[in-house]
Amino acid sequence: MDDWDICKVQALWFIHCAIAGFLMLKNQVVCYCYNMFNLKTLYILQAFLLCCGDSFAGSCEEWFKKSKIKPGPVCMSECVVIPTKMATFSCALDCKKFCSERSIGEQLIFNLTDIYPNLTTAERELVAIEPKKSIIAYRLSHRAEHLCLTIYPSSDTNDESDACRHYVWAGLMFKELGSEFAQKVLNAHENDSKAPEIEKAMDLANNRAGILRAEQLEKNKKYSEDALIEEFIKALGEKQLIVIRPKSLPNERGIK
Amino acid sequence: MKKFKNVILVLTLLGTASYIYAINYVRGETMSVSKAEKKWGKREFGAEQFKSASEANRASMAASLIRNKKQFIGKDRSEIRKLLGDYSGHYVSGMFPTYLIQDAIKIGDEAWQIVFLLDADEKVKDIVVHKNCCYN
Repeated sequence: MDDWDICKVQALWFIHCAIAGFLMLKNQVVCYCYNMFNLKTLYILQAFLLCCGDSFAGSCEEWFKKSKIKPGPVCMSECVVIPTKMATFSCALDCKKFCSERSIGEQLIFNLTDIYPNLTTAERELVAIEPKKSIIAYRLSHRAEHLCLTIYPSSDTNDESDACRHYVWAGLMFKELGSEFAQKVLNAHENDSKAPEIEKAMDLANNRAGILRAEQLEKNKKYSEDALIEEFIKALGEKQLIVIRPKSLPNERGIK
Repeated sequence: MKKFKNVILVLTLLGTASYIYAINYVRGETMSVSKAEKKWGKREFGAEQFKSASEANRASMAASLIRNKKQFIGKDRSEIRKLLGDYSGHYVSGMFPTYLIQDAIKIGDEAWQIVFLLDADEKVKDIVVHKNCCYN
């Protein structure tokens, strides 16, 4: 039952009340009895509507607002289990509507940037839970790419530049966001059902190597972006990293 | 009233220009189809040929591919991989189907790629020739 249905029922009730009142005044008993019957039904209905509240119309929105759930990928699953009362028992039916709503600013960002389509479902969930940290993680992915472009002339897929991006991104995130969140982001990033398993395996292995090396550098107080890149070149040379489609080592390409 | 209309018109134009500028700023450098045609030629696009072609041959098909982009709009990214083969190049993350059409040999060289831009449902919404390496 939506807002419009409620309006229709209430309008009908008022019309009936008015007719009943008018007939009573005119002492038209038969008609009055007939209308009393309808009136009773409508009274029950109105009482139900009143006690259920503010119920259907505005209160579902309030019910959703009070839950503090924000539109996003986990919204639906959380919304349908928000406790309800008599007045809000049917609000879960509107979860789809509430969860799909996005602010104008958010819509503009999604239209302006190619960030959102670039996220896996798991990443979208993570963004919904930890938006600030996720933005930092996203910024660091750009930083990693820029750093890797200091030793490779282009960004490719499944080659050494790809390994570099993952290794360095993992290292940067370890430093700025901690091991646990970095691991969460990296795993969510690889949680893409449409990506070939071999590519995911490559990325996960290089992510892990990046985190471990950054951890060591941090422990020895030698962490820096340059050190991370140097460690990457060293690890690549020692064949500790996985590259599906090798091109060449940075120094073999006459770089650095 | 006429003045008010002019103000609205100017604001709309300014808004549109800012919006286009913002998109281009965030996305990085792209190349128009006519420029791509001048630079790499206008060989007719064929999915099978593209799949097994070298970067140079892919480049020569880029303009034709973009001119006929309607056939790809709305397709899922996994369909693009099936049709055109494994990705090369890179844009933002591994989610976007990208195909290098001009690789760089050394740092400072230009590298270009075809990028299939996706919407929030991972369906192709546009195809652009994009400068590999540069986006904000």
